Amino acid sequence: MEKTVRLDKETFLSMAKVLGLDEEDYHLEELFTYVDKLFPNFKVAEDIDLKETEPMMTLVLPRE
Amino acid sequence: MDSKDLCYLSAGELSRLIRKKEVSPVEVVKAHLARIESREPFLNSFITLIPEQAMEEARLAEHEIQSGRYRGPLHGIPIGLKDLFYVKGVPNTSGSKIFDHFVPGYDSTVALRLKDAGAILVGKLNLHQFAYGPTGENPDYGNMHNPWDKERIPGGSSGGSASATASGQCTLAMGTDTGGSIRIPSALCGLAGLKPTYGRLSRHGITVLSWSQDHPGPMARTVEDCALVMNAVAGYDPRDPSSANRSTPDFTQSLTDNIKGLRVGVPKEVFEDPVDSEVEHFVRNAIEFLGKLGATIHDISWPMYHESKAISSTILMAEATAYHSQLMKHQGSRFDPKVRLRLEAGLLISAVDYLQAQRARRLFYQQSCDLFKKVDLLAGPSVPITACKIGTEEVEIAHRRMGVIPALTQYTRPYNLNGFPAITIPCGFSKNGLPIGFQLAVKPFDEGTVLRAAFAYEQATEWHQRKPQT
Repeated sequence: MEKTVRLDKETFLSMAKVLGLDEEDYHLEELFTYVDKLFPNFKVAEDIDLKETEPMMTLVLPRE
Repeated sequence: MDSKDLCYLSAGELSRLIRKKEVSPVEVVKAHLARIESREPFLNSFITLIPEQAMEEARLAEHEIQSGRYRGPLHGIPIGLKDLFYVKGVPNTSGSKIFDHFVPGYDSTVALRLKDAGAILVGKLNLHQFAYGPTGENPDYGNMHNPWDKERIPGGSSGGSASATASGQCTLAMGTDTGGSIRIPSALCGLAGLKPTYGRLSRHGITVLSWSQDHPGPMARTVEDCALVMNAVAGYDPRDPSSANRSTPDFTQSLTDNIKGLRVGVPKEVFEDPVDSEVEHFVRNAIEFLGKLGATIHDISWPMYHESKAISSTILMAEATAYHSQLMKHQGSRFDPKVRLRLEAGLLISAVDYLQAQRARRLFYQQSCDLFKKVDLLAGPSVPITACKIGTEEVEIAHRRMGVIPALTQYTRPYNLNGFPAITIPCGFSKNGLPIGFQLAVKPFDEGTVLRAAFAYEQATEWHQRKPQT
């Protein structure tokens, strides 16, 4: 599973701002390093043929 | 029989003695409380102990049994619950000081059913904070320690459940498993740990990590004990929206040593993952041994196996972040920094990523179901390494450096994604005396078959009889 998709730092910082993560916070750098490693995992489904496949989510309607 | 011997009897063995009135629940609970007093300073398995309540319940159990009101095989058996199973009136921290003073006003369904079965709760067990990590390290309540070598992790997130059960501080325990949190610590501490089918056990009253992948389940020193717990706790619960409304068998009926004709599949992809040579040796021996017991062994392929781990992890991270989002916003600085990092990383998963992962999950589920048209069981390692030293961030496996989290969870995550039942049982010990586990999995709601195969292997081997020296 070799993925090339990456998250560049500029995009990360804008996303962090939108998400309310404090830009001044010392751990943003640590978070970027961590997310950068994981980011390809978040996109793993992009390489899978998902046509005609619905999400595996259950809607259980109340019986009453 | 001395006090330590009582602490190392299984629930099955203890219950036979209790039923015959050869030992009393009071004796049993006293022995375990003494064992806790001696082991706890080294292992740190518990967050909350309730000795007075346990003794009171033991006296009640003794009275009931003496009066002919025997409730069944868990009556008078000392147990521990991971500290995210709500118990009315007993603090529930979920491994975080943020909830140090939170006392639930109701019982989780699992706790209630164990209470009804007569089990005696001795305390709430330590865990990786919010069950979000596989090592059993916890800066708020202190790290848990492996009874086989206290410098090493017990595994997590149900680390306290594993270390307490393996060291005889309780006869059995309940854990939860979202990415391997029952099977990893059970394997690293030499226990049997069962993650049942998703929906088989109620999640009601258990702190959430990932709604769609959380599985409560038993951790014990024998397969029989896992079956006894399943008999007490499995079954439909309308308070859990994912609870399966189907009949519950007597799981102990599966405990036969006859596995003739069972088809055991070994996915080739499993051994493509990096695995320590000692672990691989013992796991391959265990699979071969199933063959000697009458099973047939089949090499198979599970094409989406490698992707399944990233899919599972994406879903877990998104759901965990959603669940904890308000708490993070207001009390983020009070989280374990490593847990906080994982939760914040979850914010970067888009709705599209999450839904694509759930679509991929359906494909993986279908592919997993198709495998079980060819075989009855899947087999492989539970964890690719033995317990590492506390504080380890990276491990080297087969000349490959990996983060400790992806390493520990690499074999367990696929079964959280598809929700299929999977058990780990001990199958060997490394040269430095650390337990090795092997994992067996079956199709949904076929716990009987996985218990049967695990029991047959356990009865024909002696690994489960070893006890840690500490």
